[in-house]
Amino acid sequence: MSEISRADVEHLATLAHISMTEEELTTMAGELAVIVDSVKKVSEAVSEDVPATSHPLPLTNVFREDVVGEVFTEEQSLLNAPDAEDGRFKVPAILDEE
Amino acid sequence: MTGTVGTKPTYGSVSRYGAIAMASSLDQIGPVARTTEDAALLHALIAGHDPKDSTSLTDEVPDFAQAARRVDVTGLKVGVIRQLQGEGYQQGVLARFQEALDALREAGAEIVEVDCPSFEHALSAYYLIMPSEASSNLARYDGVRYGHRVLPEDGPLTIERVMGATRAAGFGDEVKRRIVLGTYALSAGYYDAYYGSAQKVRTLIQQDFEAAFEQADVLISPTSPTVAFRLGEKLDDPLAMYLNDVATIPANLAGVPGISVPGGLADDAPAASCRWASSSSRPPVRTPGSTTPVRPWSVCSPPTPNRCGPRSPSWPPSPPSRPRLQESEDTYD
Amino acid sequence: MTETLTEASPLSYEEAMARFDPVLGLEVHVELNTKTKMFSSAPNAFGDEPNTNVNPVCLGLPGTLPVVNRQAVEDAIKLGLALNCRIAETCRFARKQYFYPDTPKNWQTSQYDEPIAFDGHLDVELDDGEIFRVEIERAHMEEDAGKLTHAGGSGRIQGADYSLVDYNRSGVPLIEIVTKPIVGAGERAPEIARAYVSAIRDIVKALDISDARMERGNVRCDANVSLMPKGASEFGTRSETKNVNSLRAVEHAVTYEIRRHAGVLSAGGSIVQETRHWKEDTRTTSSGRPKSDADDYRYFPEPDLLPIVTTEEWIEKLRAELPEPPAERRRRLREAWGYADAEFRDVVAAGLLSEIEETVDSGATPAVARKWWMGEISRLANARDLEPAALGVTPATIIELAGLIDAGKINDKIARQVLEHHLDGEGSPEEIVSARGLEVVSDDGALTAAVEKAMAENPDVVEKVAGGKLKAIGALIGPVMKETRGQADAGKVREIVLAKLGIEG
Repeated sequence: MSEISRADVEHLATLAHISMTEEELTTMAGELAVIVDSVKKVSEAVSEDVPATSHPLPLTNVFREDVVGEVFTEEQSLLNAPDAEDGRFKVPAILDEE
Repeated sequence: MTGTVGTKPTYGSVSRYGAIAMASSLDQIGPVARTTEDAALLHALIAGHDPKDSTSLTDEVPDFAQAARRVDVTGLKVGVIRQLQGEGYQQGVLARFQEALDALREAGAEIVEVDCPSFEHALSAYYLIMPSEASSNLARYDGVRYGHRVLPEDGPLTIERVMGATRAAGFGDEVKRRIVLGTYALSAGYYDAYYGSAQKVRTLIQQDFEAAFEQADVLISPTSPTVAFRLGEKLDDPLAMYLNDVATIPANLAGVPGISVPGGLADDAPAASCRWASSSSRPPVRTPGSTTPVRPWSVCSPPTPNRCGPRSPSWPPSPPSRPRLQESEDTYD
Repeated sequence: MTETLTEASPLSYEEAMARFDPVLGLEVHVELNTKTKMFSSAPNAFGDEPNTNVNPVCLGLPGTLPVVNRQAVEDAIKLGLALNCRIAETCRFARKQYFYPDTPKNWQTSQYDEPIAFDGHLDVELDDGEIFRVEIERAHMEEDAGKLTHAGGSGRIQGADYSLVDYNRSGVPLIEIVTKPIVGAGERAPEIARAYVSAIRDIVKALDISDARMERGNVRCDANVSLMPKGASEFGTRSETKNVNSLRAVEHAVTYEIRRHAGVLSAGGSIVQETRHWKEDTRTTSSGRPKSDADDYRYFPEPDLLPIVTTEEWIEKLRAELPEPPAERRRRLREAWGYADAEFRDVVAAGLLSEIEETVDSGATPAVARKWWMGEISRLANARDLEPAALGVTPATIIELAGLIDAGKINDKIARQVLEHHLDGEGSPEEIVSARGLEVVSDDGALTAAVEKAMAENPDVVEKVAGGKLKAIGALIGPVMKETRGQADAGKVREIVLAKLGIEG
C-alpha cells in the first residue's frame, strides 16, 4: 500500500549519510508515504512532449574568464576544520576507495 | 502570516552568493520589512548583478522605492487567479482578500479573473524539486572541512559513520525529512517520474503565467490559504504544513516576482495578499526586462489595504497579549 | 551448494586468446592546463603546499556558487573537434552525488546525459603502421577531486588509521573521453589500448590544452575489459581497472585482465562487476569494490549553472585554431626527418614524436634527436620506470651534449654518463664535463703517451697494423681508453697510431 517502506528509508538514509534509529526510520517511512502519495500525481499531470524546465531563468553561456583570483592561505583554509594535520584536513579512516 | 511586507524578487535579481542554499533553482533573497517602502529601499540595496552567481541577472536595478510610492493604479488590470481561492481557504482570509480587491477597484484598477490550471500541480512539483535540490545542497555538511563533527557512540570510527552521526546530530527532523524525500525523488528508477515530471509541471506553470500576463498587468491572490497555525501544531502532519505554501509556490517555480502585503486580520491573526508580476516584460519572449520588477511595487501602495499598520504602537503582535489590531486608514506616504 | 567461483589462476595470454575475444572500453581523463579551476578562480597548479590553491568555492563552503571557466569550455570543444565528435548545440552540467572526503560538496559537477561532445572517432596507428579506428561515445567536462593521503597502516587505504585531505586539486578542470565498446581488437587489444591513450595524449598536447604528463595524473585511464567466447556477440561481465597512469601500464593492465578473466571463465566461474586497482610492482590488478546500490549517483541538472549553447560561429572559430591532425603531422614529420620507415615507426610506437619534434625545432638534427630519445633517454627512463618524457631532459640539454661531441670534447660513451649525472642533478652538461674532468684527452702529450704504452704492450697488434691490417687498430683503442679512463677520442688514437707507423690514413 505504502509507496515507501521502512527498508526504503533505511537505504535512502544510507545514501544521504544520516544515521537513524529504528524508531526514526519507522516514523519517517510513515510520513514519507503520505507525502509521496500526494506528490506522485505530478507524473500524471504531464505528457511526454512537455519540455522540462530546470531553471526559471532563460539565460545561457554565463562564463568566467580564466583569470586567477584570490586564494586562501593554509591557515585560512583550515580555520574551521574539525581536525587537521600537516596542512591537510584530517578525517577518520576510509573503509573503501572510490 | 506574520503581518509583515515580504518580497520575493525575480529569480536572479538578488545574488545568492553567500546565502546558504536550500533549493538552488528556487532560492531567492528578498527583504522582509514593516512597510512596502522600507522593503523597496532594501531591495534596491541588495539587488544587482553579481559575477559570482551564474544565475544573477545583468539588468539595471530599477527604482523600486519610486514604484512603491506610486499611488495611481488607474487602468491597471489586476488578475485574480481562479485556482488560488475558494476551497481550502479560510473564510476570514477570503474576506480580507475581497476587501483588498474592492480597495483596488475603488482606486481605479480593473479586476479580471485569470485561469492557471497547472497551478493545481504546483505544490506537488515544489515538494519534489525543493527537497531534491536541498538534499544535494545540504550534502556538504559532513563534518570534514568545517562545522560540527560528531563521533558515533559505538562501533568502528570510519568516515562514513562519522558523517552519518554528524548529519544525524546536526539536522532537525524537517530537514532530515526533506533530505530523505529528495534522495528518494532523485534515485535511480524514480527520477523521471518524480523530479523529471516536476520539471515539466514547471514548464506548464510558466506557460500559465505567460498566458495570465497576457490578460492582466499584475496578478493577485491570498498569500496563504489560512492564517498562521500555532507553534508546534502541525509537526506531526508535514503535508498539512506544506499545503500552506500553495499560493506562493507557483511564482517560486516560475521565478516570478511578488510581494505579500498585510491585509487585516482573520480569526485574530494577520492575513495577507500577494501580488505577482511577470518577470518578463514581454511574454513569451522571456527576456527579463529591466522595468518588470517595478510592477508589483506599484500596486502595493496606498490604495491597497495595509491594515496591519506599521505604526501600530504594539507592533509586532505577539501572543498571548496580542492586541486587536485596528482597522486603520494608515498609509505610508 | 558452493559459491560461484570468482577467482582462478590467470591463463597465459595465448590460451586466453585461443578461447576468447576481448571487448575494451576506455575512459580517459584529461586534466586541462587552464590557469584557473573549472568553476572558480583558484589557480590550477601542481605541486604547491597543501590547501593553498583553494578558495571558498573549492572548499565547498556554505553560500558559495560555481561559475564556468570559458577557457575550459573552449578546450573541451576543441578536443571534441579533434576527436571528430559532434558538438552539442546545448549541453548542461549535472551533479553526480556521492559522499567522499576528497569531494568537498559531496557531489562532483560533471555532465551526464548532455555531454558537450559525442559520436566521434579516433584513428589509432599501431606499432606496425596499421590503423585501428576507435569509436568515441562522448567527451564531457567535469571537475577533479582533492587528494587523499592515508596515514598509519601501510600507507594504503586499507588498514590506514586516518586520512588527510588536500583540496588543491579539487575543481581542476577535467575532460573525460569515453569510447564505445572496442570490439574486434583480438590479440592486439592491449596494444590498441596503449596506442589509443598515447594518441589522446598526443592530441591534447598538440592542442596545448593539457600538460599531458601521465606520471602527474594529467592523463589517466580507466580500462574496462570483458571477454566473450570466440565467435560470440554478447558481451561478458566487465571489470574496470582504475587510474592506470602510464602507457605501459595500460597495455599491461589490459593484458592481465584478459588473462585473469580467461582464467576465471575457463574454470567455470564468473566475473564480478567491480572496480579493480592496478598494481605496478606485480603487474597485476586487485579487487576494489563491487558495483552496488551505493553507486546510485542521483544525477540531476546542476541548478547553480546555466546551459551552454554553442553557436556555429563559435565552433568554427575554434575549429580554425586546431593544430594539424596527428596523422597528417606524422606524414609531414616522416618526410622532414628522413628516417627509415622502421625507424619512424619505432619513434611513433615509443610515443616520442613530440619530444623529437621539439628537440629538432630547438636546433638539433633529426638524427641526433632520434639517437638521444630512442637511445639513452629511453634506456634511462626504462631503468627508472618512467616515461622518457618524464625524465625532464630538455632539448637544450640534448643540443648541448651533441655540441660537446661534435666539438670533440667528449665521446658518445662519456656523453651518456654526462646525461645520467645531469639527471642526478649535477648541473648542465658543460658544468658536469668540467667539474668531473671528463673532457676527452685530446692533448697530444697525454694521449700519445697512452698510445705508446698500448703499442709497447701489444707488439703483435702493431705488427698486424704495420702489415696493412688497419682494422686491427681497434685492438689498441681498448687499452688506450682504459689508460685514459674512457676519455680518449677514438679517431685521434687511430691518427696517432698511423702517424707513428708512418702509414697514410
